[in-house]
Formats: sequence, C-alpha cells, structure tokens
Amino acid sequence: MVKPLWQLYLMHIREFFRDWEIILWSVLLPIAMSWVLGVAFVERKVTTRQIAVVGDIQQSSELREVINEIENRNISKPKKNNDHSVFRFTFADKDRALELLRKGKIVLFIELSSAGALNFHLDPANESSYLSYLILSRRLSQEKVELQLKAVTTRGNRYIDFLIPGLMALGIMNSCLWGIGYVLIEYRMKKLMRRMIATPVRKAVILLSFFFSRMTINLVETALLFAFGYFYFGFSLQGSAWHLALLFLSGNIAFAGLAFLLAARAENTRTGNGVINVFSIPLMLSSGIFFSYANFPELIQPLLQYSPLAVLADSMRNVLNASAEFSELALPLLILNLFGFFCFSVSLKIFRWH
Amino acid sequence: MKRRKENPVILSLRDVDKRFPHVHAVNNLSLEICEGEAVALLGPNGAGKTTLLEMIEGLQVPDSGEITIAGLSYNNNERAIRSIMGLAFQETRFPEKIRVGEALQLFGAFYGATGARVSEVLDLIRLKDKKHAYVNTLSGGQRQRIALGIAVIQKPKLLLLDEPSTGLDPHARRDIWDILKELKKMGSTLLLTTHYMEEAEELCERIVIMFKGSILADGDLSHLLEKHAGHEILEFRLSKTSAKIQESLRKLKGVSHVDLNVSAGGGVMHVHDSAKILPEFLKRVGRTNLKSFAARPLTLDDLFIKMTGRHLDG
Repeated sequence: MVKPLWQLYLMHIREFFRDWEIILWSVLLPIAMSWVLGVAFVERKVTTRQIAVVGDIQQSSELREVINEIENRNISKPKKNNDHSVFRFTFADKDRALELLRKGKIVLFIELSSAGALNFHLDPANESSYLSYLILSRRLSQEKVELQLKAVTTRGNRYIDFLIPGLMALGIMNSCLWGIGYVLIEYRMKKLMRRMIATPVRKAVILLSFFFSRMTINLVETALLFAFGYFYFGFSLQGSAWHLALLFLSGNIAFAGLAFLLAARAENTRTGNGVINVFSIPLMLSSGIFFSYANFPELIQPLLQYSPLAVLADSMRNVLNASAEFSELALPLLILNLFGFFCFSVSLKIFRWH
Repeated sequence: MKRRKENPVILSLRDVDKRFPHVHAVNNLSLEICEGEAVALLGPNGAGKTTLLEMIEGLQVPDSGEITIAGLSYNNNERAIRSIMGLAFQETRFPEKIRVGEALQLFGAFYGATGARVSEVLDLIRLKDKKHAYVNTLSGGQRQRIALGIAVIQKPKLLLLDEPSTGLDPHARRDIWDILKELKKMGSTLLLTTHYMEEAEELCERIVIMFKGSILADGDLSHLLEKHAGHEILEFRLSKTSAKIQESLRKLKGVSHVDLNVSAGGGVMHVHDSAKILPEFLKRVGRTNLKSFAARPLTLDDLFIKMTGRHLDG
C-alpha cells in the first residue's frame, strides 16, 4: 500500500509544481491579495473629508468658530503616524457645491440660510457623508467636543491581522475544492480514474494520495502567506504552533471531505466547475474572510459562524492573534473533523468511479 | 499459430446477460478463451462489445451469468484478477506534466513491478529515448504505446485491448501491431476489439463476430470464411441486367451469395472456385453482355457485411 500511495502522491505533487500557471494562481494570488488589501486598509492613516460651505460665513458665528478652531488646532493637517479624520473646508456657490457633491469631490456641503440656519446637503446612504455630518453637527451643537478619531494600531488588532488568517483558511478551502474536487472530475473525464481502479490498487489509496499531496501543497501555500505577512506587515503567531497545526490538519480534513463529496457524481469538468462554485462562492462571501460576518443580519449570524470556513478562519485568528487555549479550540476542531468525515462517508456511498 | 485449445482456459463467460434501460446490450452470451490465444472481437457500433469488455474488466456487473478469469471470480478475488489482467483502453489521457518513465513507474508500483521491469517495458514499447519526456509532448501513437506499456507492466496472463490503434496513422498503427506481435511471441493471451479488419486478420487467429448482443460467428479466420461465405468474390458489370439473370445466377452450383443491382448493372457473387464456375457464369449472363469481370479472395470484411448487413464501422 505504501509504494502505490507514494507514487500517486509524487504524481500529484509533480503535476502541481511543474505547472507555473497553477503556482501563480494558487500561491501568489493570496499573497498579492493580502498585500493589496493590507496596504489599502493599513497604510491609509489619514481620512480626508472635503466639505464645501455655501453662503456668507459671517452669518453663522458657530460655524465660523468651529472652522477657526479646527484650523487653529491643526486638525485639518494630517500628523505623522497618527490616524486622524481630517476635514478640509472650501467655499463655493451652491451650483458648484452640488457639482462637487455629484462628482464625489466633497462628502457634503453646508448652506447658510439668510436667517443664519445651517443646512447640511448630503446623501445619508453614503456612510462617509453621514459620519461627517454626525461629527460636525455634534461639534456645532456642543462646543469642546473632541473631533479626533483614533485608529487602534496594536499588533493583532489591525485589519491585516484579521485578513491573513482568513486568507489562510480560504486558501485551504479553495485549494482542496479545486485541487482535489476538480482534479478528481478531470481524472474521471480523462478515464484515468477508470484506468487506475482497473489495477489492484485500493480505491482508498487513490483518495488518500489526493488528500496527502494536497495537504503538502496547502502547507507550502500557507507558509508562504505567513512568511509574507511576517516580513511585510510584522504579522506573527501569538498562540501555539501545535494548535495551529491541529487546525490546519482539521481544515484540510473538512475541505478534502467536501471536495470528495462535490466530485462524487459530476461527469465532466463543466458540471464540476458549477458545483464547486455554488459552494465555494457563498462560503467565501459569508464566512468573514475579508470583512466580519457581523455585517450580516443578526438572524443568520449564528448560521454563518458555524459554516466550516468561518469556523476555520475564526479559530485561526484565535490562535494566530490571541493565543487561544486548547479548550477554546475543542469545539471548532470537532466541527471541522465531523464535517469532513461526514462528507467523506457520503461521497464514498455515491462516488462514480468511472 | 493454431488455436490452443489444449491450453488451460484463461477466460470463461457463461450465459452472461446485461440490459440497460433501452437496450439489451449482451444477450445470454457464452465464450471461452484459452491461454496463448489471440482473439479479435468484431462488431459494429452498438453490438455490445464495449459492455462485454467492461464486464470482463470488472467495471460493469452482469445481470446474470458467470465470468471467471484463470478460474477466479470477481465476487471474491477481484484484486487477484486485476493483478493478472492487463488493460489498454481506447483512450486514456495521462497527466500532462508527467514524464513517460514516471507514468510507467506509477502503474508499476500498483503491481509491485521493479525498476528493471519498467526499463524492459520502455524497450518493448520503443520509448526508451523518451523516458524523460513529458506525456504532453508525445504524439498520439506514442501515447498509445505508453497505454500498452502500462497494460503489460506486470506481465499479464490476459491482455484486453479496446481498439488499440483507432485514430492512429498507418505508421503508428503498424508500430502498435509490431509490439502486439512481439507480445504474442512471448505467449500473451490477447482479446482485442477493433474496427479494422486488417488489424484482426494481422494479429488474431480467432475471430468472434458480435451483433446485437450475441455471437454470430466464432472460429479461425480461414474456417469462418469457408463456412460462412465461400472462398472467392466475383465482381462484375453487365450491359443489360434482369431479375431473370439474377435468379439464374443464384441457382449456379458453388455460389453461396449473389447481389446484383439490376438498374446499375453491377454485381457481386461469393463462390467456392471462380475458375470452375466461369464457363457456366458466362453462358448465363451472355458473353457479349459482360462489360467487366474480376475475381479476388474473400476477406473478413465481405464476411462481416454478409453476416450483419453492415460495414464494421457502421
């Protein structure tokens, strides 16, 4: 059993590492994604909000006072290494202000009426506009309120610390679904699977070779992503390496099981493509990989947090960023393994070998 | 080479039956093949050849009947059967980034074959110089030779070949035949399906013709031709034809089959001896009425058309 397994394992590994296109997409893409998203959300230290003022500013002493105060306290100028929300004011007539708002050059404009009232013009659905309105209106009604917004920048709490474990989990899922599920369907279509089962080799050996080779490839992918995060963003492992290894293994079991199940019946890769996408895209969007699933309606959040991808991503964050104890990981590990073995058992019952 | 009935039976099918929802693929079929025989399984598309072969390969289960290979049954000796049987499918696409030597090594590992055996097989399939080439750089003929190499890596007792040279150019086909002839010399038992009469005639002494799930004919090529069709074919063209001439030719002694196109004037006759029949033939069609005339030996193709009414690839 060992020699056939070893040769099959070697074949899968060779197939992967000899194809530069596959390496490009499966290894470099997650790294590029972490870089783009990491830079986008970590490097942007200053949020500048442009506001237009329409009318004679002398008519509103409160507004004049606030603008003066902002300018005097230098809040309108970004400070190095601090995260401030900065307001920049510009004066314009109403038509120009409307044009600027339409083009997204300003977040809102304040119009002074002849009676001295302040009218805020903004799209309430625009989060940035509404936030600016809240800050300014509060400042105008209660002077001395601090305008400054400070971002938390300690290690483990940055967006990149949220993102990298999520990308690792997503990488394991995608790698298993496409690297095992899709390839199994391809082998079936090419009649290679049929050729293999017509030999004395055990079917379990064929499937195990897919699992072990894919886990090796996932290990390389995950390690490269971690190394990139470590050197570029100062990302590090806060918890136990053993706990991380256990999670990695369980994640592979869960998604390899799902891959076997999704590949169990599909006759060709076109069907397989659809079947895999139907599962992987909703999981990717709803499991809190890029942004927390807390943004989804409260009613479905309990469901989302127990999806296998969310369980893996959350647990990896707990180990990588928060030194989670084993007791905290017991339930996620159980869920992942049960899910994987359940999918695998069902797939064996319905698997189309040729 | 004579049919080796004195040798032990390697493959036995007894009353094997298989139905699919809309077709009776194999109809209560029985067949025995002895060690050292080379058997061609012929039949048009839909004759049931592939289903029969898949049941022998253990990839389909018969609805009824019994299949044994070297006395072993799939019910309790599946792995033992697989280790003594070699298969080459019509088409197997190997992973593209695998080298020729690695593909053989992989399948060799399934049978416990040594590195020396892999080397031997590379020699046999004449791909030693391509050992380090990726599979995707090989021609169709070379890929089919890998499939053949994999089929014989464990020195199988029974070699099943499903249309081993279909889609190959004549040169590549000839290469495959040369390898198969070499395997025959080594004593391998071959069962092959084919659409090429020439392939069956070149490689096999025993021909089994299948049609609509049953065996129509089974025997040595020369006996089959004599028994079912006669020895020679007469092809002729007449200036004037009639139903009367056709009927008259049918009554000729030594004629087993007449096919005359009354409107076009062309005709074909299966005869035992063209020289003997010629004077009477000329008398009946009229010497001046005969535009052209040719005699040639009967082929398997003629026999097949006579028995099934169809061409082999139809």
